[in-house]
Amino acid sequence: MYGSKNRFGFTTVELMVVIGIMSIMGAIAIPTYYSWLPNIHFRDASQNLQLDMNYAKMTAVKRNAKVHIRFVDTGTCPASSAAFPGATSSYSVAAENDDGTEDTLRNVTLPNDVTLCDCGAGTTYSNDISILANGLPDPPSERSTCVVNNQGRISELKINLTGNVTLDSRPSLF
Amino acid sequence: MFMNTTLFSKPIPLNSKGFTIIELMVALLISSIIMGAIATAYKSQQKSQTVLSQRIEMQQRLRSLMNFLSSEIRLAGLDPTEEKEFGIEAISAGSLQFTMDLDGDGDSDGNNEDIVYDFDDSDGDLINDDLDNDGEADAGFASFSRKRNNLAPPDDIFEPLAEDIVAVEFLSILEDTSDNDEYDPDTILTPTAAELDDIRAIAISILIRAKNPDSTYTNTKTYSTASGAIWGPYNDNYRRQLLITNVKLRNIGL
Repeated sequence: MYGSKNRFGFTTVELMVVIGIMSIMGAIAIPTYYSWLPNIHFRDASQNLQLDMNYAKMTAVKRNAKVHIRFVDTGTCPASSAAFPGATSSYSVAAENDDGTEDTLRNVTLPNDVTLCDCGAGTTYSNDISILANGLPDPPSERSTCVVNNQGRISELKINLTGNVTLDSRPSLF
Repeated sequence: MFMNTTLFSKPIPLNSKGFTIIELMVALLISSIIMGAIATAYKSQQKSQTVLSQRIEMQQRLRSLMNFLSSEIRLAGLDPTEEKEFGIEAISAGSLQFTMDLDGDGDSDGNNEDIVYDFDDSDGDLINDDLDNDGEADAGFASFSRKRNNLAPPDDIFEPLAEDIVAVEFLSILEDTSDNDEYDPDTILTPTAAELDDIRAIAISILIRAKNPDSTYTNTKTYSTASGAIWGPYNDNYRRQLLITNVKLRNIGL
């Protein structure tokens, strides 16, 4: 029966056609995926930062200690995609101990296509936001940090006088 | 072996090949029903996700504001050197001013010792957000702010505590002077100057609204405050949330 001409199966030509179609579709899909990627990274990074700031606040209350959120490699927000910084930015969450040492609770490095920056006019930026054991920011004032991706999408992360953390999207930068 | 032989080596007769149009249509109908059900489920899931995230966001802002207000108001009249001159300085439906002696130096001159809560000009149009001082923001929403009266200019400004506040009410609960073996104190929205010293507690009602409207939702609810005043109905697309807390002034009336 193996010699029979009526056996089921794919011919080489059929397989080649299928592979051809799949590669064409892939060629269309991959660039689209890569343009989505910065937006996915942006969304994840800003939401994670909001969660981590709330986590810092809760830890400060739970441990009855001062907790710092420190931002690294941030400057003024880029005005064009060409000005987008090449260096990666990061942030850490650390809780103070009674003996003056610190426990690092989070250490997050952002993807290359997302950066942290100073929101500029109308906001107060600080690369070290401290939260006291009563859940309020120290010094008592509003602080903002912006998250930007290389597509120009930007959102503002704000901790206000009452220690409430909000994430607001802003109009695209470029 | 026999089965295989009949199945694979014999040419299949022409009239048994493929699907009939009926079969195709039935399959199409079933699959479209399933697809429709999936799409509906997805949409309703997404809608409830929006509703919940709006609720959570409002609740968080409301709670952190209330927490901040009540923990600071609780300090009103703090007087370690017994000067007997600190306490509630002014109160109305939408604003509150009080003093205390945090550093124990016998006066209320410190940066954080004279506090005002009020609506201010948060939208920058140079008009107070609550001109008639009834506690309801004139534009339907505004930032509720705090001012530290003792700071020198330009620092003596109103700093926003929470955004999108629809209305605020500070209701004074006076000392229970009646002799009827029951705790039934008088409550008053705008006490006279003489009554300020008789305030023993403040009932704070705050109504907040969501940041963004939801076009599929119409808010026809009314919100009843601690004094019994009714806020609403607003008949717009914003979700709102009300929180009422009683703050006992433990440093007053000792």
